[in-house]
Amino acid sequence: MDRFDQFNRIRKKYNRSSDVLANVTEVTGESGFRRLHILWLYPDVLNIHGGRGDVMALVHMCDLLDVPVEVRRSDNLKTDEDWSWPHIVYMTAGELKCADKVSAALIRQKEGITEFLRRGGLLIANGSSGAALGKSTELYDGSVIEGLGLLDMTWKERESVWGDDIWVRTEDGLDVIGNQIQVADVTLAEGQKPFGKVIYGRGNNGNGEEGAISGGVIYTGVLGPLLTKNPHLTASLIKGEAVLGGVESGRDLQPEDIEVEERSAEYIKAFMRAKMNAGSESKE
Amino acid sequence: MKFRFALIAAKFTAWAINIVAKGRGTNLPGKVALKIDPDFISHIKGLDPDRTIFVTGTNGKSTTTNLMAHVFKRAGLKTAVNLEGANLIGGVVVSLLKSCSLSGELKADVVLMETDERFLPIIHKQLPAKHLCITNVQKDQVQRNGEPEIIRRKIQSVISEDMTVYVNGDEPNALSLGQGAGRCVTYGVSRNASSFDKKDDFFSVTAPCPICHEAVVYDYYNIDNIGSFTCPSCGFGTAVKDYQAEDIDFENKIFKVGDKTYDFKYSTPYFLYCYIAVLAAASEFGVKSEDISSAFADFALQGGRMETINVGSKSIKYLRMKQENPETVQSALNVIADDPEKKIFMLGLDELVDFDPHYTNTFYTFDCDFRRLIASDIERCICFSGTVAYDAGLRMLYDGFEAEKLTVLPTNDDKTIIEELQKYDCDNVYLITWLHKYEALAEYVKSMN
Repeated sequence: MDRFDQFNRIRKKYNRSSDVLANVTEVTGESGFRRLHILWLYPDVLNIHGGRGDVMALVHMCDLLDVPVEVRRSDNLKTDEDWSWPHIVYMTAGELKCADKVSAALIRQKEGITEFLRRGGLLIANGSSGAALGKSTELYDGSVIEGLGLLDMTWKERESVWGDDIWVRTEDGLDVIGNQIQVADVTLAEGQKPFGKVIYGRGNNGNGEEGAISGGVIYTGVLGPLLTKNPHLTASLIKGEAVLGGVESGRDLQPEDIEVEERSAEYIKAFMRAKMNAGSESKE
Repeated sequence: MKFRFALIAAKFTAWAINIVAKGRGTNLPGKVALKIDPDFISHIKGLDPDRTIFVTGTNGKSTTTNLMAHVFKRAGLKTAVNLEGANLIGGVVVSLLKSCSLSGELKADVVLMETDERFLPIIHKQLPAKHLCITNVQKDQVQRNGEPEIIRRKIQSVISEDMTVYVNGDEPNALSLGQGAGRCVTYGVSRNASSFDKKDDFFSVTAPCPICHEAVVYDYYNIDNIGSFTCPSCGFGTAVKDYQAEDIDFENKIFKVGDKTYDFKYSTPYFLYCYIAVLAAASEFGVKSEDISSAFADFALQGGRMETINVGSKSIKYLRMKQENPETVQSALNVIADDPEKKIFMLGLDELVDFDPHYTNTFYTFDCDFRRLIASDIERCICFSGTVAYDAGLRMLYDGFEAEKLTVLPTNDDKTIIEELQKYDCDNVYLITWLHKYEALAEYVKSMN
């Protein structure tokens, strides 16, 4: 539990006018260390479902792993990013209505994004922000928003909202839990890999698949916030990118680091198991 | 004929329910009426859309409606109103029934209805009110509402050029809804001693503009996501409002609009927006400022907003909030943070059981800021719940609460919760949980005594 002290010490040092939040001297005691770069994309626009907690979790996990990190937030859709800077680009959950402007901003910067991914960068979109990474999104009024097309998926706004818990297992056997607030059904094209298989919940459109993943591009609709509830996923994302970025991780995740999250997961999985036993078609 | 039968059947049902369980029956008689005559409302004689006002929005509907009814009454206007918070179509029908004669004629000068934002289009189809008061459109009940834009669209669908809307000019979504109306009356609250900004936090976020979907910028907030704002991209933003609360004095519980001074007994920013919304709508309905002022001075909210349970020498102050609604949680946190005394903070987030399937959402707490609360001298925080107690504890840790002062009780057992509380000396206790859990705890404490 005490492991949050460092996160809060760092947090107190920075404010909204800070260009970058960094834990470097806290972790290494020096400022010249190579560090992991995280770009938090459009947080004021993509602002729902407690999504900012995901970025807090990334910083906190970097502390736990002794990974020097810098986080830069970009709030202006009209400004082109320096795509040579980040190792991880994170888009927190946002409203589907914002897919128009976010998609347009990303399409405008497609060349930079392609190069960023070619270098081994990781681009993650959570919740409805994922629409911008797909091929297209059809809204309730029939209008269509073109997406970046990095993931071979199409979105269609639902007439009603689907809200429930969700439990997903990734291809490498990692369990990811949280909640799902689905305002659009997601259809993956043939050959497009899902982020995970659904153990409990609805997923993309009720067909047992959740999210989408392709190389360094991930979309998942699991909310929670996703990275606060799933520390093993958070750690694996950071460690993977740290290696690619040539950043050294000072320590491994220890059970006592994530005792609260693990206890939380026990209760929430038990809650979902009870729902499965009560008649859901999902199975572990 | 169908209407008459529906009217009599519904009135009889209401009468029968009142015999069996006085005070109940806020919905069923309406359902009976609508079952017999699906167009029941539109068949009521004497309903005047020009004298009908709906109050809708995510937060503050009930308080605004209650206060408005009190003001109308003071002005001598006979008002058909759904004060019990029955804001779905059945509840609206029941409230109209009460003001209807057996011949189906409405005996009211004004119809004032709190309307659930999701059911507004259905209700408006039968009763096309020409006046609509919109409190705010924020994150709320995401399991059914999804995103604020979905609620905004529902409200927008009823707004037309022959309508007058009264909108909160400090809340982007509400203000944007004025654009489709024939007449838009805006209200708001000036910067005051409780106003704040979020500039001290790297992780703070604002909101997308409802017009152009780019980020809005807040000069200051009066409530979370409500304050003076501008969209740098399209220029949409707070402008001069028709009714603006100024010179706000929370200590003496007074504010000014123009050169007139008004009392506000419930002196928090949340309530102030309700007062100014009512002032705007009532003024436009021709109520004199003297009547508004005198009604504000003696308005008493049914049930209150802070209730107390006494356990031995401990006084547990309960603050109402809606789960899945970060603004109400934040308002409750702010009230507690305003108390500088040493305190115990009890946080009872729970799984959501409003709709099927029940689920374990606590992510809305990451839309809130617990840091000011945490800095306000909390001796002990007790997080309790059957399923999500650890998530509540985790949220506290993320905002800097000391782990050794945190107790996580993964149970909803009232005895265990109260026994844990009694281990600590501090008598100043605050409780945030949903209403059902508060009632269960209050009942348990009563049985102890």
